[in-house]
Amino acid sequence: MQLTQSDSVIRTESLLVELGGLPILREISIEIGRGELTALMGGNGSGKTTLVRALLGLTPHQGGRVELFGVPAAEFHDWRRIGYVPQRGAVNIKQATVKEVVATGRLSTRRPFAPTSATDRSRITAALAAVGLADRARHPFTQLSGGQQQRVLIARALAAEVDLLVLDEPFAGVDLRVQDSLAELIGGLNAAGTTVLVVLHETGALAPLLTKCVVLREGRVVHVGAPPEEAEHYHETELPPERPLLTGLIGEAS
Amino acid sequence: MEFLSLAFMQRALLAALLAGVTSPAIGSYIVQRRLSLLGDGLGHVAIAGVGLALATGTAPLPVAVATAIVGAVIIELLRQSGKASADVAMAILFYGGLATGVLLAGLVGQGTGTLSNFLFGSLLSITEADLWIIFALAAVILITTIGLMPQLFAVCTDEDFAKVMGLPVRAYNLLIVVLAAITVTVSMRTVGLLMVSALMVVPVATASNLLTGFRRSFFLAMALGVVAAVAGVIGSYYLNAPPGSLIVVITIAGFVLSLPLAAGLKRWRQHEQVIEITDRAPFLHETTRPHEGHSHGPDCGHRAVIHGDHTDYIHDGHRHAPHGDHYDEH
Repeated sequence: MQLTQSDSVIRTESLLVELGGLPILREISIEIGRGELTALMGGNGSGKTTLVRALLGLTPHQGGRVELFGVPAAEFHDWRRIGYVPQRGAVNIKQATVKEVVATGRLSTRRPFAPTSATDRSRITAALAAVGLADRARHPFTQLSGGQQQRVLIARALAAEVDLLVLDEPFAGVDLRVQDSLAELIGGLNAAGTTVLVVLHETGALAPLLTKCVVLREGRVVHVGAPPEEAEHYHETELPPERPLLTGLIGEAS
Repeated sequence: MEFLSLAFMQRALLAALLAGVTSPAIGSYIVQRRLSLLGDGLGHVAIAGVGLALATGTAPLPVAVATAIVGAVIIELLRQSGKASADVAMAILFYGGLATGVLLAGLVGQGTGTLSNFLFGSLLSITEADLWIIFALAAVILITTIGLMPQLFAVCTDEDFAKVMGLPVRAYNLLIVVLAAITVTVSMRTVGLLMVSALMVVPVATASNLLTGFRRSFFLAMALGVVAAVAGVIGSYYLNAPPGSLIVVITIAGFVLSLPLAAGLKRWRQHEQVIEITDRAPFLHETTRPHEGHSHGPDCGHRAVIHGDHTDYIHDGHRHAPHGDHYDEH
């Protein structure tokens, strides 16, 4: 299905990404439309995180095209529309309150040397309320549980004027009950109109809410379309069985 | 207090004040970025500048500023290149700086005696021209570290997120190391190039023991830095010792004192504790005996523990959770 330009949030055409001279992603052509809740799945080393990084311009691509909101990535500057929630392990916060972490999400609109505006404050409060952590604003970030830290990182992304939310393995290292509540939060944001792209190891609690599933294998798209019926593990079959369990627990290295 | 009437002491105290306020300001970002030893390396590079100035007979401070900035830019470009050899290249740069400085000073007959004024600080060597330069540089550091606090904090905590927000991350990273280089030279007259790193790092560690939140501990670290630097200069006047050593000993004493204080504060803040629910099939609800004349709440005196989506109160060695009109045993 060809989407009209205004409805396309992410579009890639024959995307090629090489790292250290090795092709990591080849011939990636995907399209994500407004309002979708798309899972990007695949086993370890299939290129999920690299694809997300390439879409966001964090990793350069060597061939093909990336369009964000119908604009070629190189010309895209409307960063306030994109909220990025990286893997929790990639964040290096030693000394900060929850509110200070969420406040950094306003920087796509805030100018250097500008003081915190009333809009900034109300967006920060609203973002914290949206993830159910309004009462933790003054709490030190490092003392929160894994699931709560994940919520803070989602709030940080929501603090801008986000139309697209990109989450990299939000379920890594949090238990099933917390996964359920995070899935509920992500589903609620999507229902309220935010387009969501989420990197997942297994569909888990999000399975019933997904509108689309993109499955990568060895750097290529092997499936686009309806999410799998059952929660499936997309790992290489030759891997020892404890491997996916371990990566699920300790988070996957990018 | 007769030292206040001495012109050289007035200059030394002003210089100490500025070193004390600027070093922890940039140090807060450096510690957050886990580059605590950067200041030490930049100090070594600046020694080459001092040596060059002594050899050519020019004023040491401007030459040291220029050398440290060049060194800082090289260090950051090496770091951004991400090559494994960058580590070795930095070590070569640091020791090359130190060796060049000592060699140049030695060649013109200015032995390590003159140089040690710059390595460990000195009360007598600060000129009025130095003070003006220090004042201007300190203003630049303070305006940038406070005015760009949200941006610099974002870059130090999560580079990828900062990039996705469209921030010029490379430029901000470069700015941080250049500011660190300037701070090193601002502090070289009082604390000395070999010890300035302590004034950048230790007050930050002390402050983060005592307060939560980046902004609050940022300003506390500056206050601690000023107290240590000024007290160190006054003390060294009476002890006739290099001020740098005393300043560093005072900052470290402050850090050691903060440890028991931090433990006390932690006990006092125990309501912040969190127990995560990890058991997918928790114990069935077990109703406690009724609490007569007491209801658990934020100020009930019982220790509160955040337990998943609710709060428990520790009561007779058990965790009690309010549930409707009764309490559950957890």
